[in-house]
Amino acid sequence: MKTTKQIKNNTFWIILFSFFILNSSFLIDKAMAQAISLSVSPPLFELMIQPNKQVKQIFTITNLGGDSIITPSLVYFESTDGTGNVNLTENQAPDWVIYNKTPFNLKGQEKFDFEILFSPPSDDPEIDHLLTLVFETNEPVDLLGQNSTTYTSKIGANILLTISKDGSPEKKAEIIEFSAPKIIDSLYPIRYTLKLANNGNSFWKPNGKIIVNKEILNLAPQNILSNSLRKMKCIDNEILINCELKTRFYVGKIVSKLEFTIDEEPKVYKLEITTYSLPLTLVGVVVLLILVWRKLKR
Amino acid sequence: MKKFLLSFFLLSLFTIHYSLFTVSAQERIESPNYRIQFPNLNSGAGIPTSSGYKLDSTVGQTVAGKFSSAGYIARAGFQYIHSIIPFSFSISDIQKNFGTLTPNTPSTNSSTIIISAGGAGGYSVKASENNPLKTSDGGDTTCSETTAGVWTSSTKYGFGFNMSGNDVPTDFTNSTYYRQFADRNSAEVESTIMSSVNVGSSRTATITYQINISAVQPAGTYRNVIKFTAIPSY
Repeated sequence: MKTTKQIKNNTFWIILFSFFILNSSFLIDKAMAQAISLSVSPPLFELMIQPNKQVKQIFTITNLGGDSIITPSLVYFESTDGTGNVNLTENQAPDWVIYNKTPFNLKGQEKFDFEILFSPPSDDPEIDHLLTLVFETNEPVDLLGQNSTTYTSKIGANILLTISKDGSPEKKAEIIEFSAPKIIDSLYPIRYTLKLANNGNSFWKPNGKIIVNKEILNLAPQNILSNSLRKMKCIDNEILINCELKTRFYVGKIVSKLEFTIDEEPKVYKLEITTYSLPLTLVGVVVLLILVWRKLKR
Repeated sequence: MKKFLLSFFLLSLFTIHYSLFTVSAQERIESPNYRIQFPNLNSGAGIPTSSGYKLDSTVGQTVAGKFSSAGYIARAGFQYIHSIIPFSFSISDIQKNFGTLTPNTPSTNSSTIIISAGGAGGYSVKASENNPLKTSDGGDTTCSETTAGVWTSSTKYGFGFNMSGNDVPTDFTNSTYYRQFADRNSAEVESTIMSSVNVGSSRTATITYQINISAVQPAGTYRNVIKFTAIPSY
């Protein structure tokens, strides 16, 4: 029969032992709970600049994860899929885009203002430079020494840089596709496909709309890079949406007018397409009801 | 009694310590104390300008399409999105441990990825590895870097990943579909694991790794480094 003192002693050691077991597992969890969490602002910077002028821009990187060593770089990007996504290349920015390439330590919950100076020389050609500012975390120390995978991450912000002597680079648009179904069921909305191409020397944004009777769909002013095309979206209160009519019940001939300008330039690009909206479902239901009625009548 | 009090005190102390100082990535990303630095713009002539621009601010333009005397037109942020939320990428861990591997017994582990592209028009996240976690019979899974395939057999060996959640590629039909990572060492192009053409906040996906080794797997500790690249759209 154990005495009360022995029971108390045993309980004490059990509690203490449990505490250390729990504590060690907490420590492992804490090490694993370290996360990578970075943000960058602004996500996009557009600059048109004359040769021999200088502009300085600050990008703010914030670290909401664990302490990290951040390596900055500035590389060219390529447009990938016509939706605005990019592929980074290995090509470094020209040497007149000046920034500090030295890796820096960024502790958790800290932010850092990163300066870039754009200073194109007088003989620089009038072209666009499509760049991405990249912040890359260092490879973390292997805490476990076991079969494992470790993470590094890159976060970026895009820079669209136009060199122009007079501020009016050549801008050309081409409507590659503006289409909708030729015939639709009147119960379904019309959805448009719009692809615009940029055949000029500088990127631009369309400023326009699709007009159908009294309904207007505003084109999203998304950047279209030179010598590329983009599948366009429409915009409604800052939300990008598919270019699709809200009004669903049209019957008969529907004329859809596309009108847009390049940035604020005066030339208006126009195209019209026609869709015939027929009450196919309604007719089908009526025919079905008649057939059923006739059968019941017999 | 003193010992009980002592142990109770110590436990309380450490409980308070962990509750106060252990912060997960998700809590951080949704913190109401989120702050950003508005972009500062100024000309090379050293003329300082206000730091209080909106994120979609335009500077240096007086007449539409023409330069002002400053010789530049600058726009920070998307002109049609007036959000001040920065573009952010977060992953819940810095390392995933697969422990001791047993032949023909797949081991899995996962991490959570969160993207906020509130101030950007869209985004993509890509992933690649510095080298495969090689196995004795060849390396990665039998699926490719860009197309997921079913991996349920315990006699198929390699290292692959599955994606689930927001904005993930459609070839990850369900949790049995895996891809292998693009291998930078073999000059393979990193592949997209999340993307969207729309503005989004706290878009969340889970990446689940699976590793399976054969009975003739050489002994040793296997490691590799996975790089995630998160870029907003233009």
